[in-house]
Amino acid sequence: MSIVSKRLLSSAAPPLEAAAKKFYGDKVSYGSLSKAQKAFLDRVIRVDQAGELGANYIYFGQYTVLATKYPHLKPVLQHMWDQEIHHHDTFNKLQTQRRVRPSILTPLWKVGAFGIGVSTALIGKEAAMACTVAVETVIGGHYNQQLRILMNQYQDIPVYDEHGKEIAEPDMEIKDSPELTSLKDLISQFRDEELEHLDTAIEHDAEKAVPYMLLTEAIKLVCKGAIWTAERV
Amino acid sequence: MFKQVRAYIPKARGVRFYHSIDHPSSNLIVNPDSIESTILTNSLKHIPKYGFNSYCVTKSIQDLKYPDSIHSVLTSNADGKSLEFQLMLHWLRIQRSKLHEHIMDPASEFHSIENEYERVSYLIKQRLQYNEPIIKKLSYGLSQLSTPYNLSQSLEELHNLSDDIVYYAGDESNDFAWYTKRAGVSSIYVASELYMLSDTSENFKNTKEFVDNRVRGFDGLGGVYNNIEQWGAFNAIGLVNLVKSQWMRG
Ligand SMILES: [Fe+2]
Ligand SMILES: [Fe+2]
Repeated sequence: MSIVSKRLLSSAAPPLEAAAKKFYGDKVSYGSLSKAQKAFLDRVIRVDQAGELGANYIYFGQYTVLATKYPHLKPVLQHMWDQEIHHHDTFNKLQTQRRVRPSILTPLWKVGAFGIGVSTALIGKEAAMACTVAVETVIGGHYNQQLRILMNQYQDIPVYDEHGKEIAEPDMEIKDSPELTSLKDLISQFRDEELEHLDTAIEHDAEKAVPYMLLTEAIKLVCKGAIWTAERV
Repeated sequence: MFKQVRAYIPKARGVRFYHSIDHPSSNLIVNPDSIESTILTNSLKHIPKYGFNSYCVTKSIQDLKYPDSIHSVLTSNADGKSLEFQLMLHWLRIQRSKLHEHIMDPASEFHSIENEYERVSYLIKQRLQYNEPIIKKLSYGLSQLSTPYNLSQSLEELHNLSDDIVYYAGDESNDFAWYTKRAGVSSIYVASELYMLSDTSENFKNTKEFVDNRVRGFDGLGGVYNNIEQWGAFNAIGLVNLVKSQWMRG
């Protein structure tokens, strides 16, 4: 049997995580997500995939320009770039597993992000770091906003016990399905890593790029526009 | 091209959003508990005799011993779909569920096929096979789908079918290839179904061949796309070096 087939067939009975098992055996089950809840998850995965793709290409662009000129920056950029690649791979996997449509503008995000990375790095390493600060500020805020909605708008999903009876006040451990819990954990982990990138960029003289204030504000605007667009198309 | 792809950007309610793992009831193709779907599902058995006609629904209401007034559950829907069109859409969704059941059966032949494109071919043929019992009535049903008023919902259902097929076949594309594959499968499916309508060969042998040829012609398109993209990245690096050298010279 092919790998694809094994994956398809095993998706019928997903194993629940240990926490749920501890209390109820593996018999806890969850009710439907509403249309709005599904639509939001769909948008979250699409926009985060596009965002991490963008981040990946920004570092690709910066690395292309800066790595040979400033050998001491090479490991710093490489480390952040590796993390972005991991973020991007993770959302790629989610996008195919959860059957989410990727952003149709994927080629544009690649070219645009690469362009931002290259052009800021060509101005200088301070401008590149200022660009990182701008991008990570917007992304960090964006992830926080997603987490807020995931925490507040998914409280009404019924939890059923092994007899199919609704559990009136489910324990914290089983209140959210592993699917939702792991998504929230993932986003908060990535958010923390983005904020680390922000700190790294500040440590590497981002603030000496004060004359480029206009540039960083422009980049923030571009990022917000791209988020708005990638959520939708 | 863009016009073709536009159909894949969901506007209305019919297109699937997000496939859940731990909330499986969110993924149902038809809700078996609703009264509408009970009536419509039962109507399907009358299609071989009466075609995609509202008479099937009336018959079904009689079979189920529901009062006549229950008709209004189906006729007073917000988007004003005709009974015939609802019957057609419901039939399509039930066939799509059947395809799902088929691939979830561990004994199905599907699981022994290793190649993604051969799996696509197999799934299209499997789905077309479900047309056989009503093939005589199908062209009227299809004409319902393509009237301008119904077209956007019909395209959504077509997209859902090709999305299912491409997903079951094991697609893992994360970029524009996602759209290319689904658009390709949709157009192959439509062409094959039209071919099938006039196919008189035994067991629709010619239709099956037609599907195989079309899918073979499509094979590798996703790959071509990615190669173009890699070529783009390669050239972008070259471009950076060029710009850099110009920059240095001031
Ligand atoms: Fe990231
Ligand atoms: Fe980052």
